[in-house]
Amino acid sequence: MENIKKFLKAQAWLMIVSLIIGGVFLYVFLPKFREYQKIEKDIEVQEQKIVVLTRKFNDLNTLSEKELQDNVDLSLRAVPAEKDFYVVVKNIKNIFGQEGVLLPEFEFSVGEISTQSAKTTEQTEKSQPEFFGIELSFFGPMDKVEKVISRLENSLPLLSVNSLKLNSDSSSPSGQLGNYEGTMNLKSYFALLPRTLGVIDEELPKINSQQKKQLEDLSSFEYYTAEEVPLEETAVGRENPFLVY
Amino acid sequence: MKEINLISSQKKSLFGFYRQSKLFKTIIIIFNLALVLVMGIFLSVYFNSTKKFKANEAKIGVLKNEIGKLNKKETYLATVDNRLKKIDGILKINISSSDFLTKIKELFVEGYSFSSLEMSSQGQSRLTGSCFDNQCLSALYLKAEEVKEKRPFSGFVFDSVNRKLNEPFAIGISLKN
Repeated sequence: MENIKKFLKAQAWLMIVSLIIGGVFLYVFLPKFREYQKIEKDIEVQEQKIVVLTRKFNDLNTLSEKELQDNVDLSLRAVPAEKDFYVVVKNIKNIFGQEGVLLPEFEFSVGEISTQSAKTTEQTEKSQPEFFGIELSFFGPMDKVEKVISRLENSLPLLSVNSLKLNSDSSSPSGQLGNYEGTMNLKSYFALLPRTLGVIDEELPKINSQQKKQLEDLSSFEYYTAEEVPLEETAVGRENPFLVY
Repeated sequence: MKEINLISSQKKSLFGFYRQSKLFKTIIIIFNLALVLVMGIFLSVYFNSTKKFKANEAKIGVLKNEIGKLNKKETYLATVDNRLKKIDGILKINISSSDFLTKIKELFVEGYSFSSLEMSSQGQSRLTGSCFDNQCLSALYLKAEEVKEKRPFSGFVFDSVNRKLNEPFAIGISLKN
């Protein structure tokens, strides 16, 4: 027993050093080790982020701002961010007029004409754009009506024929394709833009070849552009779409 | 003799104790040294990691700043992407009415007089017309068979064919695009 006591006394420094090392291990090393594990995970995340951001930065540098702006203009013409019924009215009027199909009556179910009224639910924001209905009555030869429909379907903002009724005009001479009177129900599409566009940490959306083709196709669609009217003729406002010539 | 034996056994146990204590001391020292070594290596790795973490943070900050300067392009691209998705949705659900009319016109054989067409939003259509003689009617039947073979319509039904005295054949056809 005495020997043990003597031994312990002689090795007191070793005991103290061991205790200090043990203490450092428990109270400094182990918590730091846990912190280190977390840092390593964070570094992994950071590195992924750096890859994404570098790729995004390089991609953004290769994009042409002019081309993008043109595509924005074109795509917003196709599906406007608001119920732009004026352009639709002018477009319809022009097409019917140019094709010589009489348009005796039309009715728009536009609703409130403000962007705020065009509220979309999250569901519609994700899936389908909204539309407003247009009811038209017309009168003209079959081939012209066909041309009108084709031009309407290839015009911007995008329109679709929801329903169509054609009846041969009894007063026209009997023949295969005389004059026809009919009604047409059209849908004109619009969709609000999301509140936020683009997230800095996320990859850039990719425009694939099919979408590029779609943009090319859309660029050949008809679009009504207001003619420049001299100031002395019209003081304020836009051209009256309901004017009867 | 007995005394001599006693001293020898004490010495023996004393030597044994010293040997064990020396071994114990050596183990403790080696263990401590190993711990210090491990902690030393870990500290250097730890500091390298924190340094890397800070460097990455700075790099991310710089990249975000650079991307922020190109934010106009990103907004444009996101807008185009958003619109294209909507456009794709519209084009997918829409059936081209002008294409449908072109397909219907294929049915217009010689002598056939087209009277009315009703096209609903579900792609269902009803076509009415008349034929003045049997020749036109049989030509229309033949054309209908031909069209059915080509399958441009998902549904094709002759609803009714009737005739009153001195009047042409009235023909009703139901079509589905």
